[in-house]
Amino acid sequence: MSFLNPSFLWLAPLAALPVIIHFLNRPKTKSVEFPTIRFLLTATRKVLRKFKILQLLLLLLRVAFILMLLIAFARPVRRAPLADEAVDNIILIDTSYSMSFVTGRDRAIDSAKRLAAALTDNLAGRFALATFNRKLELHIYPTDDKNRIKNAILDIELSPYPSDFNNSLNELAESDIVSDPGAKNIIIFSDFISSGFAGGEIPDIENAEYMLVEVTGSGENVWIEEARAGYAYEQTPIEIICLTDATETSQARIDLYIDGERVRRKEINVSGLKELRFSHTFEYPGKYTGYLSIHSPPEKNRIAPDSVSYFTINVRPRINVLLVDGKPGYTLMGGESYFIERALSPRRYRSPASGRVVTARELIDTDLENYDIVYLLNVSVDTDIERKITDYAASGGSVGIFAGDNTETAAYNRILRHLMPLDILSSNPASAGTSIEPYEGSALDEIFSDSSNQIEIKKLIPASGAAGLEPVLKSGSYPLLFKYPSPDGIQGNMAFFASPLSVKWGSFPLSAQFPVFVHKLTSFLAGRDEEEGLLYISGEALPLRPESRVRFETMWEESEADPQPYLPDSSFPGHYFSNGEIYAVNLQGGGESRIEKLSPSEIRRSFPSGSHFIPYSPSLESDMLNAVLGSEKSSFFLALAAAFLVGEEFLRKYIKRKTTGADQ
Amino acid sequence: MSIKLDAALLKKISTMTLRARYVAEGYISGLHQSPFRGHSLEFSQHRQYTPGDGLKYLDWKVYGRSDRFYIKQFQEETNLRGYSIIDVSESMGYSTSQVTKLEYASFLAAGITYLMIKQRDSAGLITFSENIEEFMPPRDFQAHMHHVMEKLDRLKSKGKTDFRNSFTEIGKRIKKRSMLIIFSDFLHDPEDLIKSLKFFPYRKNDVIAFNILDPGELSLQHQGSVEYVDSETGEKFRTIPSVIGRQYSERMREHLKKLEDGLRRHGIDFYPVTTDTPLDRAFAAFMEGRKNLAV
Repeated sequence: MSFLNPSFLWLAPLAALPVIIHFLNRPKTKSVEFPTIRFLLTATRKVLRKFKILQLLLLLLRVAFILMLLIAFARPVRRAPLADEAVDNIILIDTSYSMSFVTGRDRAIDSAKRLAAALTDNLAGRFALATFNRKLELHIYPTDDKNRIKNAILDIELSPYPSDFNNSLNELAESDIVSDPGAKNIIIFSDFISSGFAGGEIPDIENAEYMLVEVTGSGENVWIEEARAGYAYEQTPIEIICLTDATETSQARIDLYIDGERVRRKEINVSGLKELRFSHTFEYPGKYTGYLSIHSPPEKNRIAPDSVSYFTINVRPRINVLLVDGKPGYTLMGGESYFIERALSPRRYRSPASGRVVTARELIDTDLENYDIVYLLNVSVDTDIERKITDYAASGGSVGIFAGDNTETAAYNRILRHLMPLDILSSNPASAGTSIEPYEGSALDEIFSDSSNQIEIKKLIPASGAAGLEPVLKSGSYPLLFKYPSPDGIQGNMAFFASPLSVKWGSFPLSAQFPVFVHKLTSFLAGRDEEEGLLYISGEALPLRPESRVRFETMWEESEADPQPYLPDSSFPGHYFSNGEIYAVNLQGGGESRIEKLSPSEIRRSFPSGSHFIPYSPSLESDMLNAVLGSEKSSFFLALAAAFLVGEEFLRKYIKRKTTGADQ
Repeated sequence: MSIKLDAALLKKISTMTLRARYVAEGYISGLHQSPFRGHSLEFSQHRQYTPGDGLKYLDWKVYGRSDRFYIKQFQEETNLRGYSIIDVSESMGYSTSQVTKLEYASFLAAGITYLMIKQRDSAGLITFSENIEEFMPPRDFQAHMHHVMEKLDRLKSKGKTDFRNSFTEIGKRIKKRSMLIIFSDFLHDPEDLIKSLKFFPYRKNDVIAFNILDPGELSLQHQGSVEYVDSETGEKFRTIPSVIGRQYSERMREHLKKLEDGLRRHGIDFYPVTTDTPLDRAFAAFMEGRKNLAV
């Protein structure tokens, strides 16, 4: 225990005041002749003993009250790791680029500077200042001039480089700044991102103790751990799942904001992990930014203002699909179009795609401008259809072809040759009308090996989870998706399926994977999975399989890998927290990566034993400071003083009541 | 509106005889009747029987003649012997006001003596502490009254109280069928007191006990730390009255209750009185009590 105002302790003798007053006020004993003391003797012994004990207790309460008051005024602090005045305090501030992340109101670097300045004010001893990212930069050698240190702290700026703890601290260990043999505190302000520890072990500097102050991270005890969503298409509800965690029960309010407006609010009692689901429907396509924020009155608990999870959703127009059924059936499941239509527009759900079924004849009179994709399902083509489809593909429309017994190889090769990279083979004579092998193995090899043809071919079969897809996977029946610049000005995407759904694919259309397959195909043909630059939520998850919900299909890039091009736009949230990991947004680049933060225990393990770690909370910087300096306990002693005062008042009244009762 | 006969006021009157006269006549002037109506062979008059009258005095002859119930009434008693027995121990000298318990007791005794002799009864005086200090046998003439008054006027408190010794002696010296009026603070063991007094009623003595206390004895009125000195034994005890006051008062009440119950159980009239009680009121209470007994 130490004191911030120890001068008050000189007043400690005042605590003896009640004792002195007690003895000074002690009444002089007067002698009185009385008829008999017989009744006095029988009445007095037990009562007097009790009275004396109460008097003593009263005296103790008064003494304790004054003592507690003096201690409270002396501002006691719990013994702190850095309370020793005899040491040098080396302030080390992380200036790597990840310190630019906003944590609530400020960037991490701002919080670090503020905390470091406050620490300088409150800590005794000499101070030195250094910054580090890839390497160490010494600013001020140990000095007593606090103002110089504080001014230097204010001047610190971010670097575009990633952090390297090992290298920086080794440089520190070898520098003059620690050459003094005396005890030292190395106070590091950093976000402790995992990539900073890739260089190896942290040196154990002689006579030095590490104090690790985290300046970014999740909130104190409640935060949105993750926000996820399904897919985002216009008029299609998305579900955003928020995970919160708290070490203590607290009241909290979670708001969902879209484009700055609050659209949902939930009041919750947070105690431990809790999952909340928000459902929201975007009426119109477009790019939306939003965030989930958790809030609770600060006097009730200590939820940090960085308990915000940002996300961006690119809400795309719904995909309009025209299903041209070449052989419509009279029963519900008789035609080729039934399964695809059900997969595109499942009952009870708003699907990102909607299908309309027409016959081959009706296709001629249909305005294809309203459709993103045309599926030809076992359609027998003629010149009218050929002209219609060719014009449509040339204007950017995408076509998916499902072969069947109506498919005539010669006609397809003749009429739709502009749409196909290669001619398809003739049908298997042994099972004419039921199977068409589009390409032989050599032809496929030719496509894949020829890099000059600029044909992009995707196999649409997932690498795993192919149960039920065996008929599709058989040799030669790969559904191949093509995208290529056609010399004939074809702009759209093409897909060709050799096997008729109803015959060769067995029960696949009835399986849970089929809608996924159809949506993936649809998404590809519509060109929706090739957009870059913005976070969007793909249509990979379907309502039919809610458990298959996936996380944001984000386009992130690790911020510290390449410092140059990815400055977060100020109008666009630059990061969000998820599972304790920081994701940085790259508006220009592609790919997904993440910046991992180390857990407190990992951070402690990375440093030599005996290091202290102070987790960060922007709203609780004073608490953090106390954790470094030692927490002030004035209020505790004030409360004790108040308790003693109340006790004294109660006891005094009790004694008075008891003694004055004798006169009644 | 009657004037309160304050003991402190009465103390200013020069002679005890005059004081006694005030006490007694103050009462009589209110009643116009003698409270000492006793039994005598000299018939006075008849009066109609009323329920509650003793059958002993029914005149059966009148009943035989007239078929009505009449009670015989007699002339005033002439053979009553009364003793005022006053405790003159040191404790009786205690006072928190202008009048000590002993003075108060002497005023009451004087009044009773005056009244008795005025009614031609015999009145005597006994004072005691450890032993009998003074013994004046009962007489019914005026000169005796003056002697008693003189004695009462000169009473001083001294010595310890020894009830057992004193009343054993008193028992030997008084006659049967006497009236004993005891004035004391009775601040002793009630069992011991009762043992000392209980045999008097069996000897046909009419025993009246005036328990005279100072108000300061019923509740402690001192402030701060006090060293109490027992006036009889000289023992000292230091305490804080405000702390033990309630318990002291309870013990005192218990003592008085025990004393009263014990005395009444043995046919002894008990009159608790404090020295701040107006004398005429104390006198009247006593007289009223006696009148109810008299037939």
